[in-house]
Amino acid sequence: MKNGVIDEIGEIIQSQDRLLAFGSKTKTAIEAPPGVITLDMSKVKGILEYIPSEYTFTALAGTRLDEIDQMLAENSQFLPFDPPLIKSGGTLGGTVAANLSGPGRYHYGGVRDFVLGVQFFDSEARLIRSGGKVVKNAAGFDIPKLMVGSLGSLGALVELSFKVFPRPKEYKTVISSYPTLINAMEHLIQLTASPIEILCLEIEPTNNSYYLRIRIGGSGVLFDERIDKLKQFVDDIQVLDGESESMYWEHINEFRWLPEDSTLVKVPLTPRLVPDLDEFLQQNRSIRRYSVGANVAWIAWSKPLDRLDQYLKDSNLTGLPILGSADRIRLGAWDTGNFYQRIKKALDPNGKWAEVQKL
Amino acid sequence: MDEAAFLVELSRIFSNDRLLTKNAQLVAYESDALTSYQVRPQAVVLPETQEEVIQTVRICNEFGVPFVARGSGTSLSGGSLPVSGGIVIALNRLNKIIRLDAESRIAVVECGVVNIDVSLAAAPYGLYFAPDPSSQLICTIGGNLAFNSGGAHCLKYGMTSNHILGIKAVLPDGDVVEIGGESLEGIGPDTVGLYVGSEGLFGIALEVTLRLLPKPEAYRTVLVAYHSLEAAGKAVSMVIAAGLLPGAIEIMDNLAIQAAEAAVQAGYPLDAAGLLIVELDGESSIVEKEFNSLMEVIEESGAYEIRIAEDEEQRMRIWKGRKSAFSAVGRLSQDYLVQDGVVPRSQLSHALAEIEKLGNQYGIRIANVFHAGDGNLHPLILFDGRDSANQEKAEKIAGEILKMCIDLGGSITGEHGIGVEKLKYVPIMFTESDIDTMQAIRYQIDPRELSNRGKMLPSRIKTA
Repeated sequence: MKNGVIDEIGEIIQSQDRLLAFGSKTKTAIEAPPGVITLDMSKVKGILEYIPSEYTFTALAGTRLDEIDQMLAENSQFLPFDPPLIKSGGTLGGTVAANLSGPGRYHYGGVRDFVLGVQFFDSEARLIRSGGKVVKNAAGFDIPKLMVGSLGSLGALVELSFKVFPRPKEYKTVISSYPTLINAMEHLIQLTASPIEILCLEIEPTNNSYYLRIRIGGSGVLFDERIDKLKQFVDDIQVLDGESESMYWEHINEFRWLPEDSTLVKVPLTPRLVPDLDEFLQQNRSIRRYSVGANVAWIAWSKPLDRLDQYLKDSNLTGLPILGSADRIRLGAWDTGNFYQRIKKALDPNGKWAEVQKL
Repeated sequence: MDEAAFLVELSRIFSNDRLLTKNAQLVAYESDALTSYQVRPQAVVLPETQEEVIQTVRICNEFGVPFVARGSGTSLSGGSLPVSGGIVIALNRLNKIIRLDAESRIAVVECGVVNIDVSLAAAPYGLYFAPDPSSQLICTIGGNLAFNSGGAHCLKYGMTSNHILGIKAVLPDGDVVEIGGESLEGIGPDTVGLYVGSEGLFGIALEVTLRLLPKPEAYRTVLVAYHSLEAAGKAVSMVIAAGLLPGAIEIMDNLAIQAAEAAVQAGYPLDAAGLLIVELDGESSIVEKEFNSLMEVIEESGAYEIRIAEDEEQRMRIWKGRKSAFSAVGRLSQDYLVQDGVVPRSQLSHALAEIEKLGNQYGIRIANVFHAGDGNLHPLILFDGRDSANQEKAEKIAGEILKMCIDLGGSITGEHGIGVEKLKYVPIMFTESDIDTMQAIRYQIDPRELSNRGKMLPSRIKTA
């Protein structure tokens, strides 16, 4: 039956000129350009192989993240990069294609660091394999990584293999607040260089404060001792644990904080670039968070996107709208450089795979 | 091709002492660490700046001369083996650490910087560069990048690819591209991920942005001896089943122990049939807790001797033996083949039994040193290079081991790359369409195969 579904998709690919693969369409801002046939990969689902002692699994690309998360949780394992939109119905393939990692990316690494292998349909409807199912592999070009962030422009993902890790049994989140961003950033930078094992590190600006949120975790470890150590770096702390702690991060990672009528935009950056960006966002009254140790900004943008687009271009930054409506997808200084263009030509000589909307 | 005109062009950039054309000078570049292959290049150039590398590549492109980039020549797969009629671009002099930004936890370095030098430069800030191939004292970042080098800490920390954020490279036709950046996150296809591990087929990485990590606060390293290799393998499964994620899990067999001990006197128990090294690293309170769990597992694993490193000196001594194992085996036999196939971890014992069987069947000695946490085997197949029948047997065993790795669902290489050495196994691991796809990418970037021809993918150009 599985093969039947995959065969059907192969037939569609052969018969159409312009296509774009989708999963469960949870990334609402990312749409196919007009006139492009959408290829429904959400039926290509199911877990193919999972051996907990190998720390790996293989699943079809349309498999929902919640199914995978539950399977891994039963064996005290998890996808350490905290894929967002688990509860919203996101799929494994969509997570790879959109390159979405959550707060855990700070400590463990992102989607790119955990994807091991891929099988995809190329533009001639051939099934191509790259990478493998083992945790270490250096044979051939690393096409699995190339597919991360490809937004369907290089092929339709069919099967994915991932590395997983043991899941911490318990978490705690330490919160402290600062009057200015500079203040919060100073503390964040001190923490990034410390040997304390911080799983997630974020700054959340509010109307009058900047909150620094630090997540630590482990199995039976001495949390009090570790929190005392954190107190050397941050002051006036509040500690979250148990259900409220996990609900807090779920709220963050499902983007439930996004106001209606806003577009969620992902902007990669480095800590040094945060102050300028924050000033611009504050002027535009945007709700925003700086995640992954201030390596990514999640921006709730409620004004016309051209303004943000222009700012990002001027600042040599890029942006990708993820949720909400968007009249353009590639914001800022998007890399359409020579190297990518050659790869696109190699993998899709006739331009069968549509590139998501751009102005 | 007008060879004289080509050399004249090069001589406009390089003075005599940096443009080597005499046989006596070229001999040193004939092979890398895979010494059984040798090809004498037409010339070797020693650039000192990125601009000189770019100009050299452009001249090669103009004259259609193939080039091979070389760092310290430590490739075990023949990754920097010269091409007949081509030149070698030796990059050791591009060894500047351009910028080290502790705040952003990155280092921007030239391709000829030695791996360990990055960690040494980062140490005052409490940071380090995680990838640690055994040759880290001499191997260069450019080579690590080209072959996606591994090391002993890959299960937890990943390979070189997981620590490279941005690349400035000169493509084989002389175009200079910059991909990736300084952020941990990115948007658009991960072209950096594709570039890393491309075995030099995409030109030369000139400048690389590396991700640095905070140095672990604490290490706990334990050396455990078993009466059988199988028992050591089983202990690995027990450690993983306990939900532990050690920084490193290594195993050596008796022959490897003997060799390492003779070479560096690491204090290994000479009678052990299997030696297990497990290292935990991280925040001290977590490491202590995990160490207790680890020791409970180890005590149940049937070990006959357990040694815990009490200080950094003892820890380094344990690692010294392991990291010198390859060169130490050279004392047992002048000639040996190293394979680095990968099997699923649960198949380790089976794979080792098969390797032993092959050794017995062909009457060839095989030493085993491997990254057990990743299922990455390193059988060292000893032979006598003066005896062609003996060498043939060794090569046959190597092939059978790689086929076994593929059959068990693994890979022909975990960290050494395909190079020239494993080229013939590519069609066994990949289908024709998989290879076509890789070739399509390669030919879009380098239609004339000027950059590191004959590595990783079959060549369609017949060399003289």
